[in-house]
Amino acid sequence: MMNIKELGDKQLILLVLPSQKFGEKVMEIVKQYDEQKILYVTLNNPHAALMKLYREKGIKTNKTFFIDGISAKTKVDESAPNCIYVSAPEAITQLSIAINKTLGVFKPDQMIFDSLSSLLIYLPVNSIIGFCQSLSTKIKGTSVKAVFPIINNKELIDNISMFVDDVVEWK
Amino acid sequence: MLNLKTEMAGAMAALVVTGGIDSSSDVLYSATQKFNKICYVTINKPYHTFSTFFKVNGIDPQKVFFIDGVTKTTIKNPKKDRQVLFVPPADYFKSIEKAIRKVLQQQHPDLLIFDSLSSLLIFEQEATVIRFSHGLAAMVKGFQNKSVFIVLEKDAGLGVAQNIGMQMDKTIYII
Repeated sequence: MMNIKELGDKQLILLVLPSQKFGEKVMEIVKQYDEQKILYVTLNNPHAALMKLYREKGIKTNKTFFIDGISAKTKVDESAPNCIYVSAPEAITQLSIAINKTLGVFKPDQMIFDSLSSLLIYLPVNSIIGFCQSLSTKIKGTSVKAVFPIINNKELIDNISMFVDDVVEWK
Repeated sequence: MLNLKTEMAGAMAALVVTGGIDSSSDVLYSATQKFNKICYVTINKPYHTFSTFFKVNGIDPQKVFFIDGVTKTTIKNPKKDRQVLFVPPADYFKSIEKAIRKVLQQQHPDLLIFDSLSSLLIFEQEATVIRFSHGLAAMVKGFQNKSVFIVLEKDAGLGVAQNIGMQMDKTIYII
């Protein structure tokens, strides 16, 4: 099992994970952070599915707030008090507004952005670079720590590493 | 021997990496031993070819509802059957998604098996398949159904398997 202490005290971490263990590893991270206030941005799994999985795994969600950019793809009507729904994964302006608002109101200790790799399915890398630059600047102005789990992609790592404090690879 | 129920314990969605030509039959066989209502999406072989499989293995065919994405690509008006929904070739990916949504909404299967991501690569460019499969996996998870997405071992390193792998709770290897 991975230990989040290995990530050290850096504020912004780009975390490279194997794709075929990605979900399991992200879940391990969330489980270890579950005493903290977490902002979980999900572009991979709908909020409802995550909540179900968390319950099954015994992970507390009372301190977690979600921004869900993928449920719109499912066209399943949803609403939840601990979640903001964004209209599409590629709607990065809306996503930025939702993150800024949540950082200010919810004041999380930790943000998990799941994931920039998913964003790359819907947007060109240049758009993601601009988004990350803006997001990292915003986060640097707060005390929030952020983890960006991604799957191994040289183009993404090369371009995003300049906005984070460390790039860590877990196998 | 594969025990899908045990493998899927604590997981909603799994990527199944298969090595053999007929490994998907192992997945279906295992599913029918432990799940009662299965939705099987076949992009690999037509629905009618499964009848022998059911007979040989003594499986009740009523347990499995098929979404057949193959037959109508060659036969315009296949014989209707209560256990199958034929996907029209026009606007193919949208039609598959629509058929899956309909079955999830109306039949609430215990398990959905998608056979296979590798077959989708025959129809479209990889980038299109990645985008489609990412949305599809999200949709299936949104319905909170258990699901299995099959990919051939030779394609496990491709973007389509890598990207959908992010959404899966587990990867199962049958090699």
